[in-house]
Amino acid sequence: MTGKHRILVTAHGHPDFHLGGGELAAYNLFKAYGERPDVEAAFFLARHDRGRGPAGAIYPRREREYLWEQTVHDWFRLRAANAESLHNGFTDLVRKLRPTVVHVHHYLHLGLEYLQVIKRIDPAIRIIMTLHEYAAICFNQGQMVKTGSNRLCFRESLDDCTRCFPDRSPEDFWLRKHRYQSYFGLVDRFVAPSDFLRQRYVDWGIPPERIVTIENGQATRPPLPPRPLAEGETRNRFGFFGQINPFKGVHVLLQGLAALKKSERRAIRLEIHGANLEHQTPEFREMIARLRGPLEDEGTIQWIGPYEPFQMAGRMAEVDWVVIPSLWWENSPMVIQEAFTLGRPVIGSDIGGMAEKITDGVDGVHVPVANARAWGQTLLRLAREPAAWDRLRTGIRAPIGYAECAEAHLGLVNSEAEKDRYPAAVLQAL
Amino acid sequence: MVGKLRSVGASRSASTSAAALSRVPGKTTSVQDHPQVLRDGAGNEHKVHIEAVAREQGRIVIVGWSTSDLLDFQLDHGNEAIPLEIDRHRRDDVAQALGLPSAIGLGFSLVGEAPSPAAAGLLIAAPGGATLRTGVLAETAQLPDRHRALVPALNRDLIARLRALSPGSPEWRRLLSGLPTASAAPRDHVAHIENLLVSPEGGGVLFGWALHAPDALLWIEDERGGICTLSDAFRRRRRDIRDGFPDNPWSDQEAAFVLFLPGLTGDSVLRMKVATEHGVFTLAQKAGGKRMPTDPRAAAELLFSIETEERLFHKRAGIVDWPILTPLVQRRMAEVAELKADRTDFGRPPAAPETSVIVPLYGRFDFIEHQMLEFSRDPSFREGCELIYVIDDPGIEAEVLVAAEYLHRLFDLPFSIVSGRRNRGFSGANNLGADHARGRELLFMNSDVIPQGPGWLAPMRALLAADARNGVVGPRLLFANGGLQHAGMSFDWLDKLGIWINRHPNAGLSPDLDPAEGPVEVPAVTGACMLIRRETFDGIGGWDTGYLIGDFEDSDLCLKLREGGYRAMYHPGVALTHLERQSFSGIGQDHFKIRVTIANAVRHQDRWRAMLGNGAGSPDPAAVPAQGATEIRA
Repeated sequence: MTGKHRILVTAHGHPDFHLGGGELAAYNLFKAYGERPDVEAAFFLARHDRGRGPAGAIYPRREREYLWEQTVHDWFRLRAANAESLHNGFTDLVRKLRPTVVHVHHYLHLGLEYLQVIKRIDPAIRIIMTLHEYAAICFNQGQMVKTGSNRLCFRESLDDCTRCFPDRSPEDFWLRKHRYQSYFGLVDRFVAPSDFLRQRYVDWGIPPERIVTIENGQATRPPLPPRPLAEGETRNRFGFFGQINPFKGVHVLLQGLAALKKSERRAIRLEIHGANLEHQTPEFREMIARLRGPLEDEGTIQWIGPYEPFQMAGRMAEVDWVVIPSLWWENSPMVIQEAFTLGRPVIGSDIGGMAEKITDGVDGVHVPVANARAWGQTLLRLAREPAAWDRLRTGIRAPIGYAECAEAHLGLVNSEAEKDRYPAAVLQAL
Repeated sequence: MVGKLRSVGASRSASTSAAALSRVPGKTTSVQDHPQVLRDGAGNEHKVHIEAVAREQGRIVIVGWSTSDLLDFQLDHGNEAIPLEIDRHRRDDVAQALGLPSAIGLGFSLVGEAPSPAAAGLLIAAPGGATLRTGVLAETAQLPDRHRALVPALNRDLIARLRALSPGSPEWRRLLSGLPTASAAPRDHVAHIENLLVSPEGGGVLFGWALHAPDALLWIEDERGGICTLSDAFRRRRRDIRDGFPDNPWSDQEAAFVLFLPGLTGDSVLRMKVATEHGVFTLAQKAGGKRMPTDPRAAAELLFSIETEERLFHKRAGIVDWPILTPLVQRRMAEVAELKADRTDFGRPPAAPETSVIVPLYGRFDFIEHQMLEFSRDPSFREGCELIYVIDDPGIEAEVLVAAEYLHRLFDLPFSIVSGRRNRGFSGANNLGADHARGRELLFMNSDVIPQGPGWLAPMRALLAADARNGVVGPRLLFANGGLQHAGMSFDWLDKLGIWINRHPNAGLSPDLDPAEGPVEVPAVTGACMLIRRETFDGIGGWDTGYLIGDFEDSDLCLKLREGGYRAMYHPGVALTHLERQSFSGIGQDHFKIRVTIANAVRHQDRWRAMLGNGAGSPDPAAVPAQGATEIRA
């Protein structure tokens, strides 16, 4: 590749409106691309909902940033709701922006077809796709846990998937996979933020040579100082940051605390900085309320609620540890990267992206997944063992920054090791 | 006593209706006027009364009653006493009038050879007692039917002669006219016509049940005299009839009948009649019938709802169902042949395509995006193939055209949509696609067959071209789960249903277990994906459209090819996915579909019985070198 890159980053939402990990990762990378001397221009296109459905319109948000009123109307196959705008507004935008690279951060809400449209406009445009969860593999919200029981799922297959969704036939799941894989065949390189997720996609069928692991970049800043301790106080403040839903495991954490003796609980303080509980089922909300009430009353937990990104550092400053008790695999949870950036050891479930990103005994602690008693005992042990915190904090390595992340991606684009699935003649024909 | 009986005699049948008869000249005897009393050796009194006397077929016939069956009757002719054949029957009226405990055997009929046309009397003897000499009996010219039916001897010959004749023949009709109308059904004979289905193409199907002696003279006639017998009917046992008539001697036999009646019209009145020596009796009748739909499928649904066990249906299909359905199928095909098909071209098709790919669409069509994903990325497909989708389901036409627009914009792959405007079935739709095809080869493909990548067509074409005798080529097809769906077809005799069915050997197994290592001749290949030369296709007249709904058309086509000296070839080196649901038996799942399969199998084996039975039915084609399994190098 000679000359400077023009990079269009697409995402399923704009962080101005949706502060999800995927949206933030995409947006931060877009900004980092734009600051690089070898990039002529970077653009950002995010799916947007003005509350009037998938009108298909594309309009600017600010300089080099666009919003697209698009969504998906068939979530099983991920078909774009507004096919017309693929050939009108989206095609016009790509023709005018003339990207050499389209970095696709998501297909949720956008559909799969736009990959085909990009290659038809110009087969020379490289497509890079970052995979944020297991959505292509698993129809259960991309979580790879079993429907109903939330048991962990280790593999997709026509028969496994049909057991989770008895209304769908194995043939339906074959078609779903065929559609995903066919459109994914147009992607030049895939990026997985964790080796764990990468391996799941390799198992699913992405050729290993076409998928690499690059961690999401973080804002670079010095770590926070240790929380000042009062006389006789221990490193006993734990913080949960994130969504509260059945996959995130907050209820397991609360059950673990409830299982401790009251005298043991006095040694522990847990802060819950949680969001979106109000969107959960009544049954789940009631369960959380039942667990939370007594613990709050006796002062073991503090229910603090949602936070804005700018509040994150301030809130983490008030805790010693960050906990991530998820019951699903996770990919590369942003909260782990943020905790490490801010110098806080992390206690996480011993599976998937958590087990990969947290090194047990080095920068955090692994707890057997879904084991409430183990969570209670671990928190108790760490609260009583001051030396542990100091040791683990020393073990933390700063995550990569936005610029490093952008550089790694451009290295990928520039590599000559492209292995196209289809011969050049095919791409010419598109 | 006598007076009392006389008064009863005025009622319809106990005493004579002699007054109503025209008498031959002469005076009636006292025994004809009122009952006479005879005393036997033990002193018991017996009453006897003669009700009718006539000449029939040159014989004298006497009908009457007596309170004892011990009386002896002889013809009194001068000095001669001529023996008479006597038959006794029950007389409820007599028993009631006289207060007798049993009516059985009170009535009698006498038949004898009278030496001369006139002047006969009776000698009536009570055992060990008196003999009554009646004197010359007054005769009528002819017995009324009511009395003739009481004289079985008179009709026995007639019945025997009728049995030997073809029902409905002129002689049969002439003899039948000599039988009286019976006043009651023959003992234990009972029947019911449940319904009559009348085809808009003429003819109909009558069904119901009948309990009758196995050799009964039983027939069905319309008011114009058309005659059918139940010997042409499909018969089966019915448990409900057996349970309903536990004492009937024939209730264990095949009571139910389903009968094809050619040349029937909608307003026919049909009567089921039985003839015995007592005369002709109408067991059941049906005025008018239910009109069958003109649509062959709807007609088949109605017809197949006439209950028949799966295992017996093959016996019925050939004699009842196909005779009524074939004209409907033929009419439908003639009608659709007249319809102008709409064709919409998306993009510019190749100028001189080598291969025309023809895909019929019925019901679900979401598969076509998946086909196009593969076709559009296959350079040789784009260069050499013309793609024709045939809409065989008017209900999806609008949606398919919308989807076609979407797919064309997305993939820029040229294709055509031919809309047949009416459902023609698999064969009809494929033939319609062929009418629009310009390629030198035709590839017939189901919409749920999806290539696994580019380059799948070339090896199939090479195999077809390798030998002029290769008539048709089918690839390996795999189920969604990767197991073998098609590796050539063979024919299996299904004893429980009495049919040859198409079998997919090794279906479901891992492709590694496919015995074919290279192209191989097989008994047949599936129509889900087959390549054939245009010229060969035209030479055999295309797809046969005579089957119902969609079954056996592919094996029929292969057998036609083989009959013409061609071979059906299986290429295991090309694999596509076929999203067919794996079924247990290979035959339909519900009541109707199972019967469709059986009916089609019956038609298939009637056409190809010799070839099906000739070793082609081996479940493993590779195991029968004589039939196939010749390794062919492509």
